[in-house]
Amino acid sequence: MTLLALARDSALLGVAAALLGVASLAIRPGVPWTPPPPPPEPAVCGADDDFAMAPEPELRRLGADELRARMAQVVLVDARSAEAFGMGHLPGAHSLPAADIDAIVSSESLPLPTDRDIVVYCDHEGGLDAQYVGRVLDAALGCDRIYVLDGGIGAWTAADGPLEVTTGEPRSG
Amino acid sequence: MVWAARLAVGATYVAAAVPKAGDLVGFAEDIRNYQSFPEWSLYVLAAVVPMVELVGAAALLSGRTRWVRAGAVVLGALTVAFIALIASVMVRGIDLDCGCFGKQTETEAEAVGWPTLLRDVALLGGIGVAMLSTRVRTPPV
Repeated sequence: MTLLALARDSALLGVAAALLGVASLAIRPGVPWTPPPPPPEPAVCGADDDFAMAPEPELRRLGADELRARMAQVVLVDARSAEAFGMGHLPGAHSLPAADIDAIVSSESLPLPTDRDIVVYCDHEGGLDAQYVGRVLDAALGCDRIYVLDGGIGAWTAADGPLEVTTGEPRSG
Repeated sequence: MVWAARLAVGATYVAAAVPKAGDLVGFAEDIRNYQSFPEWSLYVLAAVVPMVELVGAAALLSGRTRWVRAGAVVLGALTVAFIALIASVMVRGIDLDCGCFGKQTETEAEAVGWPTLLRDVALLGGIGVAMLSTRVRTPPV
């Protein structure tokens, strides 16, 4: 057997095998010629600089006077700590501290009626904690009826809004 | 010895080809992990490689000198390609499942490394033995 014959036989074998392989791909149901594109990598918070720099959309704000006029039609959420809540909060408010909101949302059914607008407040003038809790509630409840008290509890007391302590006694702001 | 080498190499390639041919998509994923082939070629390679292994093994086990030699050449070329690929992955420091015998579970998965490389070198040795054994002796003049 010459080298030429060996090369010819080997090439014949290789080509036949390759053609069989291609034919097996062609007749295989449901398998395309090329793989589908891999799914995009899940976004990682902070991984994309542009994304990290983009401001998160703010929840709508509600003024203290407007809140006083609508007190009976809204659900109040206090985003401050439990201690601050115990010292005085808006009448009828639910305590959902910003530090615990993720655990509360993931472990409990939220004790909030969803048939009314929700107003979240904290003691930051800019409403940082309230914005955070509001966004978590927005994601958890899937409703867009969540507001943040503009100016926080300070604006409420400045507008002579009443406060309530945990015993339920109303306290003048 | 020669018969045993042919049987060992042929059986190894049949055992490697059958699970890969049965799970083309899984084998294509294994090939993708090597980061050495364009995306469009993955399914074609995943279909062709097991078939080359099967045909080569069948030729090697056929017992007919002509096809034993051709099968040895085909499987030899394939094994050299595997060795080059494994070496390239080791040099690049890519940690991946070999995929040599099809898709494995996480506990069965065989990471590419020296044992894989040495196994392929041993296979190449077996193919060499099978090849040389069929050499036609020139009758004395």
